[in-house]
Amino acid sequence: MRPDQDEMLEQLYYANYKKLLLYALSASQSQGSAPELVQDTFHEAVLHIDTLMTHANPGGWLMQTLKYKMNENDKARQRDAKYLLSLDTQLLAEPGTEDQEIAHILEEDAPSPLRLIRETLAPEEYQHLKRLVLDRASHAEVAEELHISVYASQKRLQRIREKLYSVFPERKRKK
Amino acid sequence: MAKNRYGDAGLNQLTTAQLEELLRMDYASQEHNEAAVFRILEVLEQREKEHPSGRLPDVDTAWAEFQNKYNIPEGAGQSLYPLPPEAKQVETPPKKVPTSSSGPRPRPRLMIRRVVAAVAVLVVMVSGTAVARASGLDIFGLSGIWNNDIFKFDVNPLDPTIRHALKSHNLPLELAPTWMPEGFVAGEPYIGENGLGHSVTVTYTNDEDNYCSFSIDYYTNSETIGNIGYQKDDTPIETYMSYGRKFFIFSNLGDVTATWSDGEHYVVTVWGSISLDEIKEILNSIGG
Repeated sequence: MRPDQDEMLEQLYYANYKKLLLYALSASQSQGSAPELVQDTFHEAVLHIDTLMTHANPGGWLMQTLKYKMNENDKARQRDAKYLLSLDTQLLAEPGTEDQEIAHILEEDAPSPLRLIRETLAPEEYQHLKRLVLDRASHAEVAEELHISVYASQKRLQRIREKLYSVFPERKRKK
Repeated sequence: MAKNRYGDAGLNQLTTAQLEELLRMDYASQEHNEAAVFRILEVLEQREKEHPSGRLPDVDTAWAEFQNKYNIPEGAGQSLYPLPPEAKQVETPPKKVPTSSSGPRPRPRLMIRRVVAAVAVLVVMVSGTAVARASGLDIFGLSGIWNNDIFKFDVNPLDPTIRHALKSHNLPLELAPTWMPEGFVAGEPYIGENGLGHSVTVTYTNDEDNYCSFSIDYYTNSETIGNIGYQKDDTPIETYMSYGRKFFIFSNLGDVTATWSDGEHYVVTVWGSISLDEIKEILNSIGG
């Protein structure tokens, strides 16, 4: 980026970081991912810096981008969690479902889709999915555990999802 | 920047939990309401500054993490949390969609800033004496003169969705207006509930981006009603009778508000970016 773009990004960051994080912590279903969603929002700003440089309301742009990311993350996590449970369970639709309850079903009442998942995914892939989806860990946390970058963690998740789509094509997000 | 009828002073009276609830509502609505959201966030950020909760890292630390973990060459062109295909607004500012008089009329979207205002009605109403004192007007503390003026207008049947919302929350149907200015279309009823009572709020909008809301609130304890306060400007309060109910009408920041209470359990409030004549006609449609 050019120096003026770097300067603008830094100004935007310092002016908006806490506000965006407060929003994500308040509204996101996955609070553990909130800091990373905000960091990724600013990274999105880097990717669209030319747009932002001429935008009338860069703070509003950041907020809307964060909302999109939060919404997509919540939906993706819910889709992934359904893989890990049962294709028929309504458990996730019920508000107040505890993680322990989900984990119990995962471990004890394994329905046939779960066996299918375990047959499809390598153990480390299954563990990766479980950490990100059920444990609600951020990419940064998983990346630190595995000594990889956050983008490597994301690409691994993407490959896992593609594998699952091949087994459960009806769960692929409709474009 | 336009302010809602409760303004920043009103937001400062809300608890942190109440402000966060407004943010959750904004997120759930998926609407563009950055101005109101940023006002709420400024209040929350100021509180964090004065009384740190520990949940916000230092910005210098966060910036360093951003540069070391996220803004790295490997992330060029990558998003950890990809945007949805419909997120084209990220590329260009949203443009106003022209409406066609010959085509099907789109359903007006419920603007979150109005939802925020509607929720603010509830939280302001139920949040007790601190709010009432700060808001500057103890409207139900005013003594009034009862008279028997009754105005009768032709009314339309109550919208079935609104009727259902009121009936399912044991709120009297006769307290709901059955007339709105031409071109106003109802959004989904908003149900508010907490330890002090419950409320149904409906917001109507028209193609000119005007709005009108009404709320019917039920309080289990009549003393709560005495603590309700509203923000208003310097325009004198007007009283208006309809079906034996004495409404107090006042204005604030260009919006007009009318409110009535039986002094025991119920409060009816109508407000919006409408004229004085229009709000009076709405009050006339609140049944006897």
